[in-house]
Amino acid sequence: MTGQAGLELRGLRKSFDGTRAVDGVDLAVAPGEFLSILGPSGCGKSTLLSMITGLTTQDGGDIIVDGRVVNDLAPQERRLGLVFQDYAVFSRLSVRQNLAFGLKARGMKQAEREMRVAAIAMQLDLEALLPRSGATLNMSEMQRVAIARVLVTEPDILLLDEPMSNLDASVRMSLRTELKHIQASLNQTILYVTHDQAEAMAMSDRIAVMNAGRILQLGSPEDIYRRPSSRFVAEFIGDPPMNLLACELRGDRSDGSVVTALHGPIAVGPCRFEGAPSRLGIRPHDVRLAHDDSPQAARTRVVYIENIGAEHIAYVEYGDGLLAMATRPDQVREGETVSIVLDPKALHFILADDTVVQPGAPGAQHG
Amino acid sequence: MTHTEAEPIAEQTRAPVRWRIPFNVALVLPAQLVMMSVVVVPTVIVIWLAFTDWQPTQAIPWYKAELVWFWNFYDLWYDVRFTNAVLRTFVVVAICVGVELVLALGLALLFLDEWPWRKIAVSIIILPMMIIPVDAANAFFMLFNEHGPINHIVSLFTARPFEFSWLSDPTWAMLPIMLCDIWQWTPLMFLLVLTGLMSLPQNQIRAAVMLGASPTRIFFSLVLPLLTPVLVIAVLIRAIETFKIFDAVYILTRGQPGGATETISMYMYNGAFVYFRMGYIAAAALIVLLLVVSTCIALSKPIQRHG
Amino acid sequence: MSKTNIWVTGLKRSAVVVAMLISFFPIFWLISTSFKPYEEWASWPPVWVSERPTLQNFRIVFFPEAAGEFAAAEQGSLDYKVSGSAWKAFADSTIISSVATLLSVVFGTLAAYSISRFGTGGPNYSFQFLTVRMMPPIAVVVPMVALFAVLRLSDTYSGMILAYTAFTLPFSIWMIRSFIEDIPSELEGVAMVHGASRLRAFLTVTLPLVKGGLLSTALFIFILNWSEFLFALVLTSGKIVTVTLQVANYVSASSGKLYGVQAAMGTVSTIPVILFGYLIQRHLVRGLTFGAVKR
Repeated sequence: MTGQAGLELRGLRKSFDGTRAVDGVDLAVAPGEFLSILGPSGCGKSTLLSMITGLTTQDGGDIIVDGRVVNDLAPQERRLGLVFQDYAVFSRLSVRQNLAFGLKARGMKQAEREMRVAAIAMQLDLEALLPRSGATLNMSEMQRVAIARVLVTEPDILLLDEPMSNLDASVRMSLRTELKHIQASLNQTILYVTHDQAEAMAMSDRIAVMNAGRILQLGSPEDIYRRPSSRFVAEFIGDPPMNLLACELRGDRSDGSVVTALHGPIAVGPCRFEGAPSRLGIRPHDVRLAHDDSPQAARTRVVYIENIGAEHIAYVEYGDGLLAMATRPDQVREGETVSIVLDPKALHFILADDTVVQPGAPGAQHG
Repeated sequence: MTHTEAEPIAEQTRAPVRWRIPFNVALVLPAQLVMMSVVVVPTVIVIWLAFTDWQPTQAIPWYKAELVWFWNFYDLWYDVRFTNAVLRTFVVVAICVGVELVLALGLALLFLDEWPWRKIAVSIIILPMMIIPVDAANAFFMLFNEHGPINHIVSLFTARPFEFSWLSDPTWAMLPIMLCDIWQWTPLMFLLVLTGLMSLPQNQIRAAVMLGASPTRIFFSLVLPLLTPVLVIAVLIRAIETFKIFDAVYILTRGQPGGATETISMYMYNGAFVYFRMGYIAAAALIVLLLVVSTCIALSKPIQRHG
Repeated sequence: MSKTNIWVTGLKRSAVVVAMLISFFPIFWLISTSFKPYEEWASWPPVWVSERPTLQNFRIVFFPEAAGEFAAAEQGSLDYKVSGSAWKAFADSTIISSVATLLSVVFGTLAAYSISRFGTGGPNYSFQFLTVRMMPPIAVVVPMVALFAVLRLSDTYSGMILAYTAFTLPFSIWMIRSFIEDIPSELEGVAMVHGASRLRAFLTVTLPLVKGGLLSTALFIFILNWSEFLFALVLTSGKIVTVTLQVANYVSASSGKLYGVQAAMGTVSTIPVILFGYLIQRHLVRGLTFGAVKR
């Protein structure tokens, strides 16, 4: 079955010179799903991808594509399509030859090859580029050729290795749309590796956040954003990053409240976790301006403001440090004293073992 | 008016005229002068000599040699020995360079991975390049002697002792010469091809693998086109050098037997220094020069495209 | 690793070994022959490794008195000509090769610097030097004989040095130019900003950085000069003998080529080439392709 295949990774491991690049990864990608592996440089995501394709052999663990274990299959035989970070367009071949390459390799007859090449060229707007040499293309052209070249072979799974890092911001938007369109129209399973959380959040059905060779959390963008289960995920996702405030838990566990430098006590309900939280997390978008006499409002001074276009980030004095708060442009001015509240439904407890719990949310569990 | 106010007019009008050579031109002058004296001047002399029949044995200085105008060229046109030498040289170049290229490619492909004694292997394989050509030729002379090891090895396969005199046989005498060239210069091609192979864009190869290409297809459709620039340089340089082949021919056969192994260089050497017909050979030199220049011009477009 | 993989690898390694054997065999034969006594030079079946190895051949090369004894002794009717002892050949080759190398590198560096940093002569100027390597030397040698006769340079050190310098200039200019262009000219710009003149900037900044390249070029050109044969053959008539000519002197009227002695001479005279060759191994490719291909 082309395009619509599931991927399963069980206990995948790989070490280089004693360092564990991939340290026991379990992952299941549903057929037709767009799943991103998101993590910083060096987290092991490229090694993981390399093992899935077969270009690197794993030290242990299984890779299952469409129900078949492919561990012993050579990369040529796995029916996977990989788009490289640098696109790797064949520089001495024409675009047409690039597109036809995989089909020719599989022994397809010329007539059918030409038909398919024409079809994919039309689909990805490459018709004008067909006679050009691979070496003369610009970045975004190369990237479309790289994707087309792979898609035309109808791979079970489309794998992309940080495909946007070489592109300008304007071109990225069109690629995002393109990829979603491909997923929808072909029901293509897509595995997308990136370090850019905005990309992952925007495009994925689910995200697997990875660090130090392990997958820390797997969930929808909403899950990852609102209910991060570890400190790393909480800090990595969200731009600007989450505020981490010193805090103190009060009251008994069945109905606790939390106090910070300026706020509290804020009721947080049952606290089903051990020990005291080391920090209280709250995202800048969950800190709001309020009337001076609102309950739970605290007054503080705006120290400085970052203008990032559609919104401003105001940094206000908070205890020993600063709290970042998202505001509409010109809603506040530097030096002004304002009243702010913390959204009690958007709090995160960062525990001593670096797991994160969201208080009060139904079914909130240890991370 | 005091002394100190007197204008030194005389000094002003006496300012000397200096002829300045720009600094950068001065730097290339020594090299340029050497080139002119040893290349440009002899070329002019060749053009003069080509129209004369200077034979040093007649004890006439070359600048007083008898002018024969275009007769040298006329004679050359009908000189079978000259035409043969030219054709023979082109054939030798084609065969030697072709064989060297194929062998070098095959050999380089064996060196793509790492293994413990790889460095030593490379050092031994490039050893032939570092033998003085004359001594290499002498070695081959001994190897192909009727009582030499080559015949000995062949004898192991034939019933009777094989005492063939390679260098005296008109059909076969060219073989030791070509083998000597191939033996000595395949290592250079090997190094060039290896350099090219080691700098191939790895991701393009991996992409081809992911697209399902077999090693053969990857080699012919991807690797060879990527190697073309290096191969073009290698073939060009070897072709030019093989065209000039002299040392091996001189040592092994002197062009014998009966001119069967006479290459262009050997022909001109014999003509100039054995038969002492330097005017005639100067004309031959001009024709060869013309051939080389026109071949270069003819090939420059295709080379630009591929290189 | 599958079984076929082990077979394939085994085959590949064997092919490499075969290539090594082929590369080494003629050299082995040369070395082996240099230790063979007269009877074993062309006997049948051929002697692969001498049963009675001797240093006689080397003695003949290095000690002319030994040569005389050789002729008079058991060999009987063997008579041969040796014009000059091998020591003279080594001396002549050393003088000519060294001086010509020095001139070639110095002139080449000046010219390469000028072409590279100033663009002297336009973009195609350096190709002029290449044309020299394209024609068969024999074509140039004929008029050179005439020219040298007039200038009284025939059979002189100066004549040979001049010829060798000219014919290695293309290599030195192109090689050194490629080394200089490896060094960004901004470095000299920095020095000039600090008050140095162009020349001083080049001498103090760039030159030390290309030192290695210059040395490799010098060794490379020395190898070319040392191995040269045609010019030595034609432009000398006995007063000057190079190591390449000396080998050809070891012939006798009755026995033809004196294999053993030629092998001895060849082996010894090739040693510097092998030595220098391995020293500059990294840059061999750059040199032999006129700087077009670098590692």
